[in-house]
Amino acid sequence: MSLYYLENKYLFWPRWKIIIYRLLFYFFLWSGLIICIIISLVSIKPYSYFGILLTFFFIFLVFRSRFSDYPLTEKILKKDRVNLGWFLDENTKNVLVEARFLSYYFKMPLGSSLIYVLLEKQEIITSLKYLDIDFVKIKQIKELIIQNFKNSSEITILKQKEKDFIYSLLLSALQKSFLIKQSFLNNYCLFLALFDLNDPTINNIFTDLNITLTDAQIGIIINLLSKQRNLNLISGISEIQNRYEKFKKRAKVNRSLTSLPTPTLDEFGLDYTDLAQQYRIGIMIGHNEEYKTLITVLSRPLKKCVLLIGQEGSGKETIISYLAHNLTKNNVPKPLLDFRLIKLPFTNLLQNITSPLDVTNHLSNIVREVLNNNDIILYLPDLHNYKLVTQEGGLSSLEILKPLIVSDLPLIATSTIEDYKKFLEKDSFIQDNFEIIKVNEVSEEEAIQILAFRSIDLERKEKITITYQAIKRAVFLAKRFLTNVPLPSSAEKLIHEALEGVKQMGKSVVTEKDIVDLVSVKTSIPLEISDEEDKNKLLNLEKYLHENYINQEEAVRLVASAIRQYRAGLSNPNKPIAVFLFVGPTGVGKTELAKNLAQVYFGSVKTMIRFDMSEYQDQRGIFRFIGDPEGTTRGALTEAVKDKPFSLILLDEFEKAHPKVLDLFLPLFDEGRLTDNLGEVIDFTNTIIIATSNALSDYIKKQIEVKVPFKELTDDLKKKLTNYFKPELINRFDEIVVFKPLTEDNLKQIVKLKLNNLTKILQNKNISVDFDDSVINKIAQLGYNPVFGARPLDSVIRHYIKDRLAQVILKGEIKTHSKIHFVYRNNNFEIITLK
Amino acid sequence: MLDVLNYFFFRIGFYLKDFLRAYFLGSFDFFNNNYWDKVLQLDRVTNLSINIRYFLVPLWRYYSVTAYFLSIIIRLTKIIFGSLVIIIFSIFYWFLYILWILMPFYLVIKSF
Repeated sequence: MSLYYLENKYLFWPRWKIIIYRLLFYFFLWSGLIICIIISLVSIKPYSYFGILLTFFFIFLVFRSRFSDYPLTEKILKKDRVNLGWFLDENTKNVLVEARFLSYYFKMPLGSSLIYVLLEKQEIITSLKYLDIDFVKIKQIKELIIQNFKNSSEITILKQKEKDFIYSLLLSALQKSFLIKQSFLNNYCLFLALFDLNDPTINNIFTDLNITLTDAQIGIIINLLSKQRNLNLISGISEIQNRYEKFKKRAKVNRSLTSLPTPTLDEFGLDYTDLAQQYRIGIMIGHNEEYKTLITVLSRPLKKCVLLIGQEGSGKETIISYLAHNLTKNNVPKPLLDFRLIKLPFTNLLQNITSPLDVTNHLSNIVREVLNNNDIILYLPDLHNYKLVTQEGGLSSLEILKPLIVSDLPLIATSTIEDYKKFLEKDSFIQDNFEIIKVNEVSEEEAIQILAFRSIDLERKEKITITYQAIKRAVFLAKRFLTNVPLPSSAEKLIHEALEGVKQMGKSVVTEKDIVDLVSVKTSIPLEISDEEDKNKLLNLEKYLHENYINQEEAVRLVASAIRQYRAGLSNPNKPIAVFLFVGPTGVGKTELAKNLAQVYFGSVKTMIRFDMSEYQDQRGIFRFIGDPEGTTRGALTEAVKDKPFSLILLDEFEKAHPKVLDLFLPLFDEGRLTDNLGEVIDFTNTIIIATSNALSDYIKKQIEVKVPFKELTDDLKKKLTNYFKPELINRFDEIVVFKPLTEDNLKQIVKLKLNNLTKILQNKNISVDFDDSVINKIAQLGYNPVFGARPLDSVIRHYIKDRLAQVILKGEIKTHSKIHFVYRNNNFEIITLK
Repeated sequence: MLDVLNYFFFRIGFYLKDFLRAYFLGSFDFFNNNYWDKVLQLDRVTNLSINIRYFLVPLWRYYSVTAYFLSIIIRLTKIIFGSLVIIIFSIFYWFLYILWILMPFYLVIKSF
């Protein structure tokens, strides 16, 4: 274990000493160089020979003095005592010195002055530019730093304290240098190290800049990568298909001249090693574990077949193209040296065929060619296609491939989880001969890195700037709302779509707002950039719910309170947002409240997923919810939530489902996740689950009539509900919400609300309408049924009001800008036209 | 003031030592790494080592007497050609390095 210490006089000298040293050094350097050049040129023998020698030294000095004393190599870092000052380059030393002087001058802490000085450095400014922080913002921050300490008088920095600060800063910078692969402690490392200091002032500055350590690291990495020559690496796999024709026809022979020509494979295959050689494919961010396993399997002596399984766009192709890149760089284990990697999509075999037998013939030829050679890794995308296509006589394409699979040649195949379950999982040949590697989606940070990197290329091609915040937001929203496609593909699609939209609008920048608007349209959920409106909505949830919902104050209060607790972080985050059981007679507004909640909380009634539980009265209902074990049908519940992870799930008439079906909800209510038939874990933590039940309706009516307190009634109900549900299920509901039967007054209010909605519709047609109290009273009377509650209300309004209105509008009796009055008299609904 | 002068001479001493290290040891590393890079590139172009490795494997793996005969001739030609290219390159390359190393001594001797 090395001992790190800091010893560098120069860093802690007063200003005058530094000035004298610099004068002395640069005078020595430049005067020495000029004198030596003159002596060498004037041919004063023998001194000119010595002049030449010294000129070498001074030229060396000009360059050498800019770098650190030693590079950050393993050999030096393993020494017993390591001086952190050894690794500082000239520029970084001067930054530390300037920061010290600035801290004295403005009486500010060294951390603040250091960030001020770093924000003046071009490399940091460029890195921040990639994070959408422009020069104006940097200037504002710098002014803010100075303003904060302008009138300060308290700072007196002790020499030892100053040294301790720089020591701990450099120690952090050393760690950061490994992250961004730097061989000196330069300004990038210092900037990243500032995040580790936990200094409130510095943290505030980073908050103002709106960046985290990961952001800063990404900005710096992009800046460093953009300086590299082979930037066309980023064009990535999306480019391959366009250039496919161009490379197809080349003859392929390995360097050892031991391979036989492979004309059929060359015709139908695509040489990935060729593409990697030209830097057209090969970049990989994340997926390191999967790649390591792939290499291990491919280079072992026997059974070298790998099957990569993952969702479409999860990175299977990326891993394989990275292997191609490493094959061209000889950066693979010995058994794989001098191998070619050829992709053989099944669809290619179907090109220009005259009879179905052509596919079999071509495939047989390819198998023979690969077996005759010893230097080809065949890559078969969508392996299930080979199994599905069966020739006359029952021979599938996979059968033709079998000699190749059982040979000791390396082979890579891919499939999606769904297709694997459906077609390959039960195939014992596949299970025996293939090593299955599951490709997981990349993390959000990795997705941001990938997209930030790709955006540079996209910006160059499209001449449209994609802001870093837009990329971050795209990844954030894609992860939450577009869960059908894994990262980074889902976020990349969003960026591409937003880019097209921006192009059509004639704008030149894709901003965070463009992404948010796009996701809002795609998901029908109105999303906000700022969360102020969201908070306001939560605080006044009861008010918002009652805008379109009458009565049931207690139920609304309970629902609103549970949701507020969740959003304030007081509930278990590994559960659904809320799980309610709504009990009460039919037609009292249980479903209506659920609809309103979906509208208010998720922004649209379309986010409500409804299941009539009376349809799930037998055990098979489980498979209808999560999909059957054979993998032939997908689960209605799991698929719906995969499509809409932010949704309200309404389970109508919950008590009517089979007890085994109800058991399915135990882990779901408790842990917020459910595993479907394909083994995929579906996340329910962003859903509100509402189960409704008419059980004990008569009991509730009676208790409310005798005015039993609500709390007492709820507790009583909990006990009685155990006749219908298991106690462990009842305990998993956040709230059991009791709905009261509607009174006459409630009904009238509901009628008013519904007629108001009709008024609004007519207003859009420039027809103004008002309803007499007699109409409201009659509709309320007709719309109530002791068995169905207020359920007939809609059909009554439709029959007596809407139907009448439709007739007069179509007859032309009411024109635009008319004013009409609806009354009920002489046992009849009448329309009086006022204007 | 004295410590400024001390530090100055310390730095110049450090750079002088580093100059000698870089000139003799560093330049050897540079020449040597560069040499192997170039040799490997030439090997890739001339296929020297791969032909040595597969010397007894007939071309296209046609195991017949004619193929063996042709293969040995072709591989031998390739090996001789590749070896010649690499040997000539190596001679020129290391000659350049020797000149580089001897130059300071030559300059010092000529100076006095």
